[in-house]
Amino acid sequence: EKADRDKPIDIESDNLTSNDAKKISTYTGNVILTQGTLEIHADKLIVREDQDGFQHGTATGNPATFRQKMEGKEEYIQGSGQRIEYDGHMDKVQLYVKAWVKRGEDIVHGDYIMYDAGAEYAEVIGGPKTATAENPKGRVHAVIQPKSAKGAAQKPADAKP
Amino acid sequence: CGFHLRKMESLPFDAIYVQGGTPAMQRDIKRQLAGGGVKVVESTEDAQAALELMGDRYEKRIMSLSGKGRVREYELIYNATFRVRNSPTENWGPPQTVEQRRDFSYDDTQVLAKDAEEQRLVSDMRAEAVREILRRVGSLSKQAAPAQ
Amino acid sequence: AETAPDKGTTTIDAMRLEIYMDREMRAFGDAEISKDGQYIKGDRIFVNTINDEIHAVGNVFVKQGNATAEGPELRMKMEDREGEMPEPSFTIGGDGERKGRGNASTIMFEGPTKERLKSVRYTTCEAGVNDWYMHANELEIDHHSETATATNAWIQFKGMPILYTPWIDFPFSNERASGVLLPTFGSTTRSGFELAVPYYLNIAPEMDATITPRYMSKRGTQVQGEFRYLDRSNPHIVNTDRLEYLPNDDMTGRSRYAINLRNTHTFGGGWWGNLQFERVSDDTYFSDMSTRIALTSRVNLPQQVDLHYDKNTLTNDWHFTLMAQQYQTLDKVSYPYQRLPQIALSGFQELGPIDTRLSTEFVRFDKNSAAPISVTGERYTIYPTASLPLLASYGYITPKVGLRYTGYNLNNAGTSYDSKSTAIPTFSLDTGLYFDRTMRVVKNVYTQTLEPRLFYVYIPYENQNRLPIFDTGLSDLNISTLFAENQFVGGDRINDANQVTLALTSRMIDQRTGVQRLSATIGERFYFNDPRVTTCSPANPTAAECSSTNTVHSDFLTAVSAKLLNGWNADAAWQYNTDNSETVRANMGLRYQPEPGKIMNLGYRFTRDRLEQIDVSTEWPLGTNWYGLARFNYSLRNNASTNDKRGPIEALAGLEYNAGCWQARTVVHRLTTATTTANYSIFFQLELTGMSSIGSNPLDLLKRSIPGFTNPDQISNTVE
Repeated sequence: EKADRDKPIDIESDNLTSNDAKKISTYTGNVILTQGTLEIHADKLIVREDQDGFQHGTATGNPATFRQKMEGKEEYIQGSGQRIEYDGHMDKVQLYVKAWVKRGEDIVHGDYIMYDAGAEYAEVIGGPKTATAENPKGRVHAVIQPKSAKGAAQKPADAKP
Repeated sequence: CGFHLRKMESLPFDAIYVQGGTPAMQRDIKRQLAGGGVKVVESTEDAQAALELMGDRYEKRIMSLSGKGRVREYELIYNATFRVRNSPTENWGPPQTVEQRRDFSYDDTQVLAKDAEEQRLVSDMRAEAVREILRRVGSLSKQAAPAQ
Repeated sequence: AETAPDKGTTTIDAMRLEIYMDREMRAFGDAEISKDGQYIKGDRIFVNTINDEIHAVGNVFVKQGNATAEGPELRMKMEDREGEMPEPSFTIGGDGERKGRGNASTIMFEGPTKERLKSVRYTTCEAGVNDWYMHANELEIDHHSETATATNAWIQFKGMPILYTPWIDFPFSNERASGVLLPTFGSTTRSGFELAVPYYLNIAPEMDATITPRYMSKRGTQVQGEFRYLDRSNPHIVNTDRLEYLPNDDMTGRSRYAINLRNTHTFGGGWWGNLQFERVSDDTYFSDMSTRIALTSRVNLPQQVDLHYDKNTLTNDWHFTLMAQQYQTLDKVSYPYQRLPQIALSGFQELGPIDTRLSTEFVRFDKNSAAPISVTGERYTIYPTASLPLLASYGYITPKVGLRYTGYNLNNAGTSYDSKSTAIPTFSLDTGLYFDRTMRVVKNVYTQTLEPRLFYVYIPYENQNRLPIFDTGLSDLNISTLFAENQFVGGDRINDANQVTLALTSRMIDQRTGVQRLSATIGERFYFNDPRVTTCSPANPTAAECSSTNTVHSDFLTAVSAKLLNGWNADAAWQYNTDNSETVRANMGLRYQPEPGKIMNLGYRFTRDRLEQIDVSTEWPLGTNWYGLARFNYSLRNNASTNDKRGPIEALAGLEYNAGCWQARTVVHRLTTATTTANYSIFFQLELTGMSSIGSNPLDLLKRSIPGFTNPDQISNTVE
């Protein structure tokens, strides 16, 4: 939700190397980043701080996952991908390669997914990297449950792609 | 010249249940099989073999016309379909059909007599069809079941 | 969507998807959306999740049930399945059924089971084959009843408009659906140019009707109606009621009609009844109005109602009949006696080894008022018999005795007849043996049987000359009647007999299948004294039956029938009178039917002083798509007195072309009819596959006509 942007970012990991000059710090080993309701799990996280002090993170994992509560709803949105890029300022998350994003029962798979929590807008693009036998062109694949089911069943799902 | 009186056919069953057919046909079957030592029983339980008379079809066709287009001869075609099962455990054999044909002369001025003649030919065809069915049943079961 | 989506789930696939949470989704590039069996594909698909409406643009393809449509654009409400697509090209019909296709100005989806198309072009020809199209300004498709209904439709065949109809509906599955059947047009010498367009109404699974307006250039427009139903009480009999009505026949200035009712009903408890009523407006009705020999040859039209009661077990049965029967006679000559009423009770009872049988009958015979005055009256018959069938596997012997009592109560008997009653005993002995031997022919093993049979009959002579002939005639002599006690059928005569019939039958039975490949019989009857009873009656003493026949033995009779392996069937019968050494009857027939749809018949039939004809008929495929049928029936007999003259009796040739999505049939027919010279007719029939109910003869379409057994006297003469 929007309030996350003003929340402090807390990152845990097995170990951390930081390069203060370039303001880059690299966390490796079951990294967990939390900021308000936003949570990112990854094997490795590189965080860069821009001149205005906003932090940009690039998490990679097999896969890396993220989870965030929707604005004004009791619903959670979660996703996963080989690489997740997170932009603290614009409140946008980008997932790359074999990515999926799930909201309630609805799920969408794609090669690249950009989720803008602020505008509540997501863009999903297919690509050869996500091609599978049944989906040779690697197209985006979305499964949307009927409205009635979505409103009612709101259990946090531990989605496996 | 090789001919011998027909012996008691060693049919592999001594009780058979007959299903379907008109009462007259059932009686014919009962009598002819009794001649060969086989009983027709009332229920499937105490019969090894079963014969189902599935249906008959009767067709009357104009065989020949006079110069003036009047019917001179009719042909009667009767066929009956049946199937056999040699033992309650086996499933039914394929449906088979026997066909009988008769023709008789026709004259418009003797309608009532010709109707009676037609009825007599029909029951004769039915009786002959029953005999042919029993000949088929006899050979099918003999050949199907190993001679005891 | 690889996994089977459960109910209500929507899946979207595309190269790029923009999701505006809870407002809209835009799919770009090879986009597909499917939900509950509905499937839509297009270059771009915009999904408005608020009002559940989708808008697909570019190479749009939609599939719903077994209808598909392709077009430039589509708007659709997925949940209610309502939508519209401009300029669609579409297909109807699931796989396995004949697919219909076509295009239209717009297609409107109206719910899960209905589509409506505007200004449509429709055909069932495969893509690329444009032999015919149905144009209509509206076509409504109903998947529930699997029928399509077109309004203001006209059919274009090879570019030529051939049929306009304000309204037509047709099935797009194999189901029977009401609809226009195939139009038949042609011409006959009797009625000129003809066009008949039958309309088939599928009223209920066990009920249908066919209404056929038939325009005849020389006579006007006739309406034919046929109503058929299956009676739940005995579903293996098709009850058929037909009515034909021509308000004003231009050639005769009178209205002409034909009625043909044929109903059987089972009341239960062993009771069942029949109504059979045929009536035409005038004597030349059939020869003028019909070309089917089964109709043109009809002379006496039965009008009868009969009630029956049966009770039967394995050891006895009883049969009661109450009937009232009269005939409409068209040749002003035959006028059969009317039976108003006939009451008959017959029974069979097994008493230990003895079979007893009783048949009793009361009939009141009357004459049609138009017939010349002749003797009428009542007849009583009581005829008990007893027989002792001794059967064994190697043979049988069956003595039989009976006593036949008949009494008459005549009026206007004049001087020729008297109401004499007779009581005549009958005795017969039927005995035979069975001999078998095994025979090997080529590679098949046969059982050859030899079945000698002896049949002795003794019936004392009783003068029956002054008894009327109401329903009696001499039956043909054949293998069946060779072993009958009474050569007369009917109740007025019983022949005197002191005769023995000897016969020998041999059969070849395939031991593996039990099929009888060949059966040959020879038989002859020897009279110890000459039969004296005839159907000669004092009313016309000069009739042929009155000349006394002093025969030492009856005709020599032989019959052979063979059912050979590769589809050949042969039958021959020959009856030879040994006294005046001449052939009385000779019939030979050869039939070759290697498979259904391929048949050849060759027949020669000779009956002394009555007929001599050859009959050739064939149905055969003539190369791909062509199919021919022909019949040629030629009489060799020249005898003015019986108005037979050498020449063709019936000649028929038909050709059918099957182009897959349409069939054309033409039949040329020459037939001599009762009252006039030959009637030539030529008919064309065009069938557009899938456009009309299957086939022109809906008789075989009634759903639940279950094979079963007909009672002997329910054998209605469904003459082919």
